[in-house]
Amino acid sequence: MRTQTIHRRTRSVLFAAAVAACFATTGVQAQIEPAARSLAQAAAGKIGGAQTIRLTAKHHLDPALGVGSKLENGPLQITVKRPNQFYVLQQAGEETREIAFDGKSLCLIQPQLKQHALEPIKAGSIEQFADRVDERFGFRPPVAELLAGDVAGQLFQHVTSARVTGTEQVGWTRCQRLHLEQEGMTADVWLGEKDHLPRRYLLTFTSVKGHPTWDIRLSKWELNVPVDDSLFSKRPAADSQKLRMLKSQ
Amino acid sequence: MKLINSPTCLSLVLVAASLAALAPLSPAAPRHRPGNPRGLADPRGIADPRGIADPRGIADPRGIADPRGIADPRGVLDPRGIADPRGVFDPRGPFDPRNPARYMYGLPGGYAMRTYAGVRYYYCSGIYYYPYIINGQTVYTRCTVANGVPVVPARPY
Repeated sequence: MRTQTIHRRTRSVLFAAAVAACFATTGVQAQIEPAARSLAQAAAGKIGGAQTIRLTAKHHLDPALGVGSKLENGPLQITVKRPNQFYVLQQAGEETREIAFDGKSLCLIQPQLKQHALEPIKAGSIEQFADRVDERFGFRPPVAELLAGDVAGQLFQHVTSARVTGTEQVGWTRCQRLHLEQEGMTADVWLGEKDHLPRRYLLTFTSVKGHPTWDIRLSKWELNVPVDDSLFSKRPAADSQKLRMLKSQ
Repeated sequence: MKLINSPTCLSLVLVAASLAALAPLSPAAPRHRPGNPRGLADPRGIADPRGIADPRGIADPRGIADPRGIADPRGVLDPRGIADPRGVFDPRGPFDPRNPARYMYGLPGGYAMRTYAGVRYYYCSGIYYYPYIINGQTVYTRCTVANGVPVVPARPY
């Protein structure tokens, strides 16, 4: 199960959890129920088969996991184009941020603060893009695991168990709830019963005191619609200051 | 010399000289105390160790035992007193000049952008900050100032 890096402290916890999970799963078959696997594969077929995707995500990060930034709760407008282009606009007032990736360069822009970072990075898919950004810059693009070509593979990575826990309502949509567990965290994904699109993604960090959560609501899904190609290669205004994008040491 | 020659002015000078000569003998008059250079009206008294350069003024309720010194920016109306135990994680926020944190993750409303030698800094509460993007997060790092100009700080982590 892939998750976005939240911040340095949580990152180290998650890293430790991931390492522990790797050892824990060595020689141990993950208990993935057939119903869970077929539900995830249905979602993968729907999302992975779409050439373009547009959606909105609203999220709430438990204060215990964050640093108090407005970005931790700002709505996300995400646009994806297969195989490897990604754009997200994260509204957060003055901290508003854009992440644009055209397959060759990653540009992170904060237009109000007049600053940006531009780094070359190559990736052939959304999965590779997320992995390389994480490896080089210490964070994962928002909900990239749910937008990957192979959603099922991303969701089941490192999990120790997966099952469908029942049918629940998310807003007006009737969903099936997929529950995933791995060392240090659990994830619940609510997938539409009819269209198999994720409507809610709840991460619970069980290795952190108080079991804080990151709750993401996904809506306004649009598949295979025309998208503005210029978004993926978006660049900052001329008076923006270029900064280095770093990973914590 | 014309003034001295004037009878009215001459009499005024004489009256003033007489009063000046009698003044030290009057018990109601303020006494000149050489040990108190702050002046006669200072009620703190000559034993006040804060000295004459103390800008906090005579109304400062913190008293003479306050070890924070005259550079304390909290001001005289701060009721917390000298035993204030709040440390670096003080919830008053990173831009409070009392907070020694080297970096923070957001800017307050009243910041200003200032550019020196082509580098843009964010200025708030008398301090310059330089942004880094670390783990996808903007980290505003406190700058030192040399000759009135901020210097790009080392990355905080």
